[in-house]
Amino acid sequence: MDTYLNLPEEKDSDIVAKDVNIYYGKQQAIANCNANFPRHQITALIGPSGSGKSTFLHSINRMNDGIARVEGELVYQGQNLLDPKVNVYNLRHQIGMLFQKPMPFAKSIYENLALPLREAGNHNQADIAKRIDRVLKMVDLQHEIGKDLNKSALHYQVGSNSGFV
Amino acid sequence: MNRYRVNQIMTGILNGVTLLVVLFIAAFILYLLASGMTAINWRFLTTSSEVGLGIRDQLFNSLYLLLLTQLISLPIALGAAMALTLYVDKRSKFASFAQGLIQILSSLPSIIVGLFGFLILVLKFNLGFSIISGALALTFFNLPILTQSIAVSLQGVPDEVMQSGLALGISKWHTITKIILPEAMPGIWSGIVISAGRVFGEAATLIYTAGQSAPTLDYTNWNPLNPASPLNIFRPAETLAVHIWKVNTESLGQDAATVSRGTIVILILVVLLFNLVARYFSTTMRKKVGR
Amino acid sequence: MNKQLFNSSKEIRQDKLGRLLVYSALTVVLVLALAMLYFIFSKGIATFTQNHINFWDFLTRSNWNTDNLQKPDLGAWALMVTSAETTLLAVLVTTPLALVIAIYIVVMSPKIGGRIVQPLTELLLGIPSVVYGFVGLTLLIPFLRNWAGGTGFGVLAASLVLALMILPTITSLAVEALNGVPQSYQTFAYSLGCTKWQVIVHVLLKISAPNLLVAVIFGVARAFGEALAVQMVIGNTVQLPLGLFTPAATLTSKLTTDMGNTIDDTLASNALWSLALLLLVMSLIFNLLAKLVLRRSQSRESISR
Repeated sequence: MDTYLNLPEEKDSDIVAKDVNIYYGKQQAIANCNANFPRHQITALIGPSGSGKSTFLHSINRMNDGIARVEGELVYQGQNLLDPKVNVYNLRHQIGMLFQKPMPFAKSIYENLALPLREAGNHNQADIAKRIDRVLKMVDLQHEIGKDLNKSALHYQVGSNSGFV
Repeated sequence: MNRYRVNQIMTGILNGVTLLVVLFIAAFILYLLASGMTAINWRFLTTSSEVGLGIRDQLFNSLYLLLLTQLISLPIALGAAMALTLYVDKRSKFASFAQGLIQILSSLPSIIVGLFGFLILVLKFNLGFSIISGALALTFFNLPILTQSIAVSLQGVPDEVMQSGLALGISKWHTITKIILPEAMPGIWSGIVISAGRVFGEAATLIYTAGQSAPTLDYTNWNPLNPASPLNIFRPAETLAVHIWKVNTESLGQDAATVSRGTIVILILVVLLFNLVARYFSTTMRKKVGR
Repeated sequence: MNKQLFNSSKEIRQDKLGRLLVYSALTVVLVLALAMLYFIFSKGIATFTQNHINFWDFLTRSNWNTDNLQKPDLGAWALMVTSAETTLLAVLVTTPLALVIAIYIVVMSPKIGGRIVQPLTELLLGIPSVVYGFVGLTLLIPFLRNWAGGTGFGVLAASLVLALMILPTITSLAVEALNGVPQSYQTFAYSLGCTKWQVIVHVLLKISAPNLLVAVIFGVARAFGEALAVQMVIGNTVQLPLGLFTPAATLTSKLTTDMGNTIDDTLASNALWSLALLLLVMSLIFNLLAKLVLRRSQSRESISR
């Protein structure tokens, strides 16, 4: 499957895929993918199940490291993010990812939201509380779970992980 | 004879045999408890074996060895289990080699582990019959079992949890220690408690490492370097299980039987306690944090 | 240009620390395992390399006489036979009972099974082996003495003690094996009109047969390797076990009794290490067997799917 997505110019794009090939062992999952993803826009990848959408997205976040072999270039703001020298954690702080299947951690709802903030270096309790409050309002869940923040997140199936960092 | 009749007869036999075996086991345990209860009194628990045929020092030695053994083996087993389940590529040759080796280690007869400890610790490293030799030998015995049980608990956490943590930009190490480990904790605790039960009752590993004598301890002396101090790790230390074995092979007559019966009650109560705690972790706690 | 991508961060440092910790721990475990195998092997062959005992003689002779250094008469045959005999008897007694209990727990009454039968067998699993030895010594042996005469010590006493000891081992593994059969298979068979007994025999036992075999193998391994409980009731005389009531000695009981009385690097001590090596080899064989059985059943499963 050759894929060409050349809507905008490369200079207007934040993420550019150049001749990307992805292999699981000997099996090829993505062949010669070339695509530009324009800045400040929402781009949707569509395709039948098993066509490699997730595999491709995982690669942008370097979540395929050690699982699949990715060839070619994925250029993010002028850098090839497939470069082994790239610090994947800094990359993941800049490019977030939500999964198909929600996977809350076995902690309270509040902890689920607070842990990524703390891990990202925010240790200001008041600020964390404020951000969580803001996010809950943003997604209009403050009434539904606002009072249950200390209950286990596993019993609520409300959307995906706290991928808002 | 039609199949319904066969079914009736066979299920009847299954129920009957189970009932008989269960009654037998119950009688066995009740016998052990009942026959030993009379031997247990305050004097039995608080005197040394030389002075009053008590088991005070053996009880302390058992608990002290258990504590030391778990302190040494837990961090190592935890790390090894993490490496096996979360770091090593599971399809690789190395993974199956490592797992095979640990499986072999976990199924070695404990007398072999004891002899290895005797050879390496007592003779080669010149540690003598001592608490430290015993604790290390018990660690050899405990490590593979604990590693395997922790690995099973870690495997119970879905792979997607790791993916979620990484995608949030959390380091692999913190994803493991702050997210995966807490979720696996009930299973890990239950594994620790079960292994503690095995360590507590283990004797074959200890007879040639911690030794078969229990010098009378002075419980007012907490200087770890003093030979009479309970904390001293270079003194020989007979445990409860070794005590039962020794008094019966040296045959001290009636006293041996009485002392053994009393000791057995203590051992069984401790094992029962451990089982209950393990059950608590694996059911109640898992319900609280589990998926 | 996004320079930040190449900067190091605390996450990288955390990961380095984590990798260092877990791989050192794994190394410790693996080195320990290899060291154990190496030392027992090298000590175990010293009898043949240093003391020049004929390996074949060692395997086939039945006397254990290490005092005469000029003409030592040394063989492990009687010990091996006794080990095999006690183990085999124990497993023969226990396996049917363990299977019945496991079937009861999984099929007949999971409720009573889970609340009473399983906890009871688990308690049995936790009871230290010396306790079994003691009960053998104080209850079983007087009983055998009254019933059959002689001293009571011997192969039968050891076998019965072992049988009780491995009952919970085999039972708990068999329960796991039976639970491994998907519930839907049972439901399906019932919907075809099978009776409970037919479901047990044709569905549960048939599908879980390899895993049940593995359960028995681990029971065998435990019985073969048990030292103290056997040593307390078998009588500890090195001779071929001609009857069930002959006092005898197994590989493990001989090791237990004698290791404290020998001096390192003498023939007497080396010969005992050779016994340890035999035990080790047997333990490896049991492992290998279990692995083979599992691998065969897995490859068959993958074909049938």
